[in-house]
Amino acid sequence: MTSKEFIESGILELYVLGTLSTAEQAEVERMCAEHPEVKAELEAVEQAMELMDQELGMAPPVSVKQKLFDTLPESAPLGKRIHLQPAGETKSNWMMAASVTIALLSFAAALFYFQRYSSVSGEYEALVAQNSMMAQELNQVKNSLDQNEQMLALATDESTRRIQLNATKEDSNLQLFVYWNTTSEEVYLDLGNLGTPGDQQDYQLWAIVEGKPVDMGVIDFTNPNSLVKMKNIKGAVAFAITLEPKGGLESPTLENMVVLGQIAT
Amino acid sequence: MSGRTVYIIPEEELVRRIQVKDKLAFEYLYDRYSKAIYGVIFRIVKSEEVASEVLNDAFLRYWERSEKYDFAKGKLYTWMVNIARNLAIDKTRSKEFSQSGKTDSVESFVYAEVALPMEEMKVDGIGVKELLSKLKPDQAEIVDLMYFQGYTQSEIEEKFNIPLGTVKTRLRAGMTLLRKLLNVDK
Repeated sequence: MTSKEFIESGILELYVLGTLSTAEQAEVERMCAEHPEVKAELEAVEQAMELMDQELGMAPPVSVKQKLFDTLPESAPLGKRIHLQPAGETKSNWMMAASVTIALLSFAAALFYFQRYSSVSGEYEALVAQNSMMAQELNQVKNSLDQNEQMLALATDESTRRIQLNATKEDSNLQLFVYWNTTSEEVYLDLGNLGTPGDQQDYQLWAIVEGKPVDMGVIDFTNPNSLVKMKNIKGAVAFAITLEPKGGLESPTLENMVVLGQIAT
Repeated sequence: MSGRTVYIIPEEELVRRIQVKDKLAFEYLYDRYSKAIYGVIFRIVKSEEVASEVLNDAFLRYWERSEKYDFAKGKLYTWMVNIARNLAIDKTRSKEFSQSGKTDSVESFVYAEVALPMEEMKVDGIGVKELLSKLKPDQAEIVDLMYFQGYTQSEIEEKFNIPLGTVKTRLRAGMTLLRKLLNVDK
């Protein structure tokens, strides 16, 4: 069989269609190796089939490509694959790993700093509360100091007179002092060992001016200091305290007098 | 030839890269050949669902068996299309395919009767039916059965009582004419 007869027999078309037996395939391959014109014609038939199929091609559904590439197994030996894998893919894997690492580190750092913040925040609030308490205490100390200074100023003032009030009843050991500045007319009462009266009663201070008792006010026991400021007075010759109904009276109930002090002239 | 996509990676390099499991190269292969291969498969199985399945199987096989491809035995496309064609033919012979596809009646092998699905295959204004109508009926029948529907020469010899030699020469004559009509010959 000449090469021309071989070509014209149509065996090359069958070879390209893949329908020849193994023996026939081997014969085609042998003829191609021996006769360049057979080889050239085979290439022409292949080329024609490829181009014809391209011309008559149909677009497959998009889902086929997606499914194919999603499930594409990687069965190549590892070494080979790493050697020839495109740089972009390797880089993206590396970057993915780096991104995950950074995200985890960031999360850990955020957690750490949040815990530290919570702890510091608690400490801060405690300090604020403590500070507030100290400010309150300082204020009390300052008030107390102010009063002590006032008292000291009052006590050391030449115009201030210290009047001792003694118990009027034999079974009582009450003793109080009145500080009276005759210039400023201010009066302070040192409660001494006077206890609080009952809920229904008040101790009331009186001044004796020109033979008549003058109301100096009821004694306020809510002030923690022992020195209580009373009403101003001038021309007093004596001070007395009576136990009166709650709120006090306009004139004293003499039977209920607990202490009395005359001003020495 | 206008509208035909230009592919720039040489076949040898493409094959070498796919043989080392380069997915980008394989995607290039898919983009370049999936239309042609799908067309071949569809004309044999005549169902989009089945053709999609066979196309997927074919490309999986190209990926897994690329090292089996031998330049000495032919072009890359020839190797690919033969795998796809065989998978498609196997599908038509499977039990699940028995109620559709090929039948044993002679009438169904007349190319004109499979014209309906072929209408959808027109690309650049060329359809299989139109192409076959340019051939002599006896050539068109063989080309249709073998080239487009995946019959083997022995099946045709057996079922249509056409001698093998006649099948071969009709195929040769029909294909040669198609090459000229499509202006794909060099």
